[in-house]
Amino acid sequence: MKRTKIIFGFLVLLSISAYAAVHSIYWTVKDDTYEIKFSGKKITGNFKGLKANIIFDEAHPEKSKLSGMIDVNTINTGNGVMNKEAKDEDALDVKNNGTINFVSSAVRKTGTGYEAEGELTIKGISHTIVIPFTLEKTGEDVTFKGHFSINPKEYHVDKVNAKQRRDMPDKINVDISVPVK
Amino acid sequence: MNWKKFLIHALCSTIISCVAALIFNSFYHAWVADFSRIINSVSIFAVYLFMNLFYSFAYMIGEMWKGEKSHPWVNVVLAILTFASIFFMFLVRLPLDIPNPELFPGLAVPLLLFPLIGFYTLLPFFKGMK
Repeated sequence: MKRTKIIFGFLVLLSISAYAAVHSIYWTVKDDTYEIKFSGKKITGNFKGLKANIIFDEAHPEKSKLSGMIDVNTINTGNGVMNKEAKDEDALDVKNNGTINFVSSAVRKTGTGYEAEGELTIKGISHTIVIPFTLEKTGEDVTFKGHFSINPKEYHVDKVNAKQRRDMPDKINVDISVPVK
Repeated sequence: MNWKKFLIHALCSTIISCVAALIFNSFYHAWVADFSRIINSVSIFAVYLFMNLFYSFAYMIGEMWKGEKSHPWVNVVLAILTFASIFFMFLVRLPLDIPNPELFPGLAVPLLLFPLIGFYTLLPFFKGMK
């Protein structure tokens, strides 16, 4: 009987440690406090509606896999008219392409943090980009932070304002801050 | 020129339009969307006081020009200016952490009309007053 208890206790400890090891690799977005901001010439805004699958191992970043999907309908520029125009066909074309997707193909450690190389898909057009990011830890809080730039015209996002035919700038900066658990 | 009449008219109009605006704002807040960080009792009072003083000033200038015969023309000018200012409400950019900015004009546009409605409502009481 005593031996059975010892074996059972060992199995419990083993399963707890296995769970802890798995948990440190699989991360989920903590809550709605994440930020996905973009800015460019005369353009600022953010997105909500993030769904992400984060498999990230600090010890072995090459085994990591990051992917995320943003609902384009959640775009907020601070102005209702601009929000509507951003969803138009010449801009993000929400009607035919409701999401922006990123899927990593490689994650590497760099001198200042990490970088994720992968396919960014906007309006159904994919390009390979590199997203430098860091993993910031404050107590029990863990946050992925990244910054990168894209040329929206490469994704056929040509107009800020479809009706006024105002051209989109060549460079849009994107800042990402995602608290995870 | 009795400037006190115009000042009292502006202050009375500010008070009644503020009361109407606060009622409308509270219903909009409860039923549609919360923009209380942008539009609240303090900002409503400040904007309405400015608008009503401007209306009074326009009437004062009009009466200095052609007496009470100027009122219809001043009314037309104020109505055009107020109507034109409505379109600026569609250009306002709110802080990004405030959701549903497309609902902002639904609150701001009617609120912009309240001071002129209040001013016109009280106008007959001040007509002919010296």
